[in-house]
Amino acid sequence: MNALLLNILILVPLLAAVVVWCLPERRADLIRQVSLVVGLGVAAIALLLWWSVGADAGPGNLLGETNWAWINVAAGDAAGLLISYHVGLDPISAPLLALTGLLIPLSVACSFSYIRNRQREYYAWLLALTGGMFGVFAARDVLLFYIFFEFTLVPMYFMIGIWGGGERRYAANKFFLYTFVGSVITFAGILYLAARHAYGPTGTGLVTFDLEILSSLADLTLQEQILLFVAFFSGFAIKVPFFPLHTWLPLAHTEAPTAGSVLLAGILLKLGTYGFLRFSLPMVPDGALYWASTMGTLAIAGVIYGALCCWVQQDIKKLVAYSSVSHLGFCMLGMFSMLPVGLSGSVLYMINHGLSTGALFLVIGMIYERYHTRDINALGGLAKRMPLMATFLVVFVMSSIGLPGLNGFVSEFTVLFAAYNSPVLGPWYGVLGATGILLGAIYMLYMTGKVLFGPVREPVNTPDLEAVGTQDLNAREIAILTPLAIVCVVLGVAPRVVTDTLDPALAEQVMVRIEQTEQFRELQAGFDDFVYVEPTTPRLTAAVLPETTASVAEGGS
Amino acid sequence: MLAALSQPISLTAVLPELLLVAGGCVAMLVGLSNRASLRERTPWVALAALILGLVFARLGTGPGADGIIQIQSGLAFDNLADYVRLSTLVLGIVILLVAWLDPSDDERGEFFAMLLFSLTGLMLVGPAANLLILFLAIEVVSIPTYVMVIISRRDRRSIESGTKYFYLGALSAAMTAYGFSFLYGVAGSATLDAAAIERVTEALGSPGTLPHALATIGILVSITGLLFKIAAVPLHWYVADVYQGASSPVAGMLGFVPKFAGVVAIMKIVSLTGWNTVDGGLFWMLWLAAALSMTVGNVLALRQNSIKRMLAFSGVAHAGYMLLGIMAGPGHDSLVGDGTAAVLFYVVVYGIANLGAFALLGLLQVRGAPAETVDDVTGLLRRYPGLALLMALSMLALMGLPPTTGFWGKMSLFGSGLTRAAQAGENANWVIALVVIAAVNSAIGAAYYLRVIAAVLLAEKDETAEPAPREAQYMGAMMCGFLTLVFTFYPTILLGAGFNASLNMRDQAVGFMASERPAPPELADAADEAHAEQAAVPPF
Repeated sequence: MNALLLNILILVPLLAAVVVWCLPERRADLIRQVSLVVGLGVAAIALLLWWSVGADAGPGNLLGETNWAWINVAAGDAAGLLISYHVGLDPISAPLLALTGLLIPLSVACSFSYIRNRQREYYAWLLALTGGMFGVFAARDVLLFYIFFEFTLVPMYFMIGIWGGGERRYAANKFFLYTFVGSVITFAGILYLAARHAYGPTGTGLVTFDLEILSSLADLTLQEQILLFVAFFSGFAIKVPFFPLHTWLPLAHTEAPTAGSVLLAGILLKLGTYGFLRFSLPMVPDGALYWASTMGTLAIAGVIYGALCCWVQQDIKKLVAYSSVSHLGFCMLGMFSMLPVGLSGSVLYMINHGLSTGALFLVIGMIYERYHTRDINALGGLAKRMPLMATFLVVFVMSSIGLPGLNGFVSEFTVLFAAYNSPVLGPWYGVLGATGILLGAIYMLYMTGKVLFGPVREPVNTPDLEAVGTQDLNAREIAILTPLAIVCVVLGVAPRVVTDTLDPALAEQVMVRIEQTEQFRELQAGFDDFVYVEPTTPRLTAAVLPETTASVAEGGS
Repeated sequence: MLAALSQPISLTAVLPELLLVAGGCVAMLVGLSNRASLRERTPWVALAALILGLVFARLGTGPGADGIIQIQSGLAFDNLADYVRLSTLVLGIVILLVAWLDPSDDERGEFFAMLLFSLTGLMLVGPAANLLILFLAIEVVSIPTYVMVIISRRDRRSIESGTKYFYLGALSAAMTAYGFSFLYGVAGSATLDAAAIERVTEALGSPGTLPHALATIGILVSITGLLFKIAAVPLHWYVADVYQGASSPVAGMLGFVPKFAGVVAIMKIVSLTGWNTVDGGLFWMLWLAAALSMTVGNVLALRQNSIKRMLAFSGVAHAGYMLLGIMAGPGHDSLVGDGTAAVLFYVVVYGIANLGAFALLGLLQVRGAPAETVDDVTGLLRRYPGLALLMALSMLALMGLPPTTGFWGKMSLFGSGLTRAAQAGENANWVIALVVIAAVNSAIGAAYYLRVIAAVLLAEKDETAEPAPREAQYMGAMMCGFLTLVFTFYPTILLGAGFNASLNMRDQAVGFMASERPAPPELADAADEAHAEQAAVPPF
């Protein structure tokens, strides 16, 4: 049953895309209805699947597993090449799948008034993108992952290039080429790993891309791991986007239509961080440890640089775009702390950033539809005109800057806590990272204050109510924002709904590989003499270090 | 040499080739008939010959059930020959459809006869097991293409490009023949069999002696001549002018037929060295030719505004990827480790995608003239969504975006390169560097393919190109799209066929590689024992 549902998630949106493309352009209502129904359906399925993932789901016991040999070339008795359509969920991928599901119907609904031309193609691409994103998170075969990873480029390219702002063509090309360049290097790395597994000293001659097999290779040398990490880095870091490679992002975000920005920030950026978590860390743990402090430094640089860039933006959308650079720096900082609590915080960060930034883009889109500008200086005092919108915006801004009680706080705190206590990073990383929070509060509140409060300032001839009807949010827009606001509060109060299953899975699948390395043992030995703060928040870390070390001993036999 | 050639050969073995030649002769007669209604039937004659050839090729026997391949009169009908023959016939039908209405009324006979002769040549390159036959087969491929370039269009440019192609082709043929003569001297016979491989490897294995010098010169010079056929650096200069001067269908054909003949011939020459491609002069030559072809081809393609010239230079880049696979050689008993299988797969899927793009270009008319520049195809989606999507599909396949055919091709090529690096000794890092260069280059390539996609799908324009009312050409373009889609979602058939086709070359390679490659079964046993030992030790 679960297997069927998971395959429906991937395949039905792709089929629906073809169906929508074939509908006549003048039946715009039908097109929207079909897309919305598919969107709501996949949202329900995705949330249901996430809900039914137990902590015990993992390799060998995946939720909704399908394993079908797609490309299987063998010569007689000789082993050959095996690429599988292997999908399944575990507690690491399930929350991200649920996030994708949550954002899909909202992005469909927010396009109803925003997209006015070539609607048939628009919804077709949006649905194709949906299938691709579900595929990325469900894939258990590295090559299948890579195929979906690259496939998401195509629909997004068209969404930016056709329905974007003034510089859309340039932004779309830059987005596509930037990501493609990085990911072909990643592809070479994946191939090397598969070939190394097949023909290495203990190889069987079978070239397979199975995630479990490739993430348990034991005989890679340090030199190989260091280079493979760089290969993975070039694809994933561009997608994240990691500090010096982030330049495609502000442009793409600013030019994309609202739904494009929401999905880009909400899901597509997470493909990069998910890639690091799923591939770089377990496959080349020694390489990851070797580069960890560099990664930490770059993450901090991204946090501060992104925040400073936000401070000077005049365009609200660009401001939120740069804030993604800053926020994903936090996410990477947590991941490369190499502590269970940091990994867990990092995954929480992915989800929370998807929620709050996605919501911010939605609100900005709603403002833009009314005022046709995103210039901070041209707008002011909108709280008087649009009190409901102002309420939502304040909630999402607070979530984004990490107000305790809302979701952003939990992950931000955990990540900094982990960086401070990390054996590979250290207190300075925590301290410098914390300045990012401070800067974040400054630029976000500065923007909110200027746009929402003070004397009313509106561009001439606005608000333009032709598309949306009402001055304040209409019922459709409220229905879009409410679920996000509720989830923000729920995850702020009870992050355990995610972490209860997530933590054991991270410990079992990722931390084990890191703890097995010689480097980590040395680091930890040196660190224990120095200072070791026992994690004081057991509810965030169901599996703290000593327990996992014990499980390694058991699992290592 | 003559003794080998005078062996009897059963005519049924070459029946498909004979059918094509006969079909070519009939087509020439029909095309010269003084009745217009009969002249219009010329392409039907060619189609009948190709379909009959396909039927008999399927019925005919490949290697015998015992796996022993007879070398008869310089022809060896092994799996490779089968693969070349079948893919030539299938793609030949597509090429014929694409070029159906291409030649003018009074030149139909020559055109379709030349097409069939050229395909026959390609089908003979596959089984050629003798330097002389190989040379003749390559020339049978090439000479008709010179004629086709000239008569495909009625203006000066086609004459210029045909002449250029002819002279440079003659130069390269001379180089190939010169190289072959050295190889004949070293091997003592023109037959490409195990004895010849043994003598050439022996000569190559003793540096400082005369045979070593002669063998090296022979290998390098003959491969250099063949680089012209696949349009690789340094013999790539003709390619843009020739493609631009020829009509689009003929240009599409040039991306497949001579390239296929060239890579198979290069493989046959390289196999004389026992696939010792990772050291010495051969390594550096293949490395430089591959790296430069990719880089130069892509950089030049980036700067083109004419899609035909762009595809021509991108063909140079694709030749570079193929050379990477040839350098990797038929290393392992598994697909990603087998460079020759990868090349055989890649050359076919590249040919299909490239032909599809050229077929669409030939079909689209802007104010009566065939579409050529990026601007000509701008905004196609609005009025002709099917054609626009086909164009985008071809471009994506050429770009190698997963999971299109180009991606599977690049996966096998790059994978075989990385596998070969493990056996390359001191040159290992150079081999890996070449794979990285190839990966970066396929990203550069994305830039100019994306430009066409953006023009076709993103941009809007009031006056778009109009497709000419040519059903056959439509069908050819659709067949290219269909084949690309089939091999995208089900590449196993073609990958497996390519893998089987390189069987003989794997056997040739084993002699050389056995010294460096421990037998896998024993190794697996040893590993199992190691595991068993580990398991016996109680954990902590």
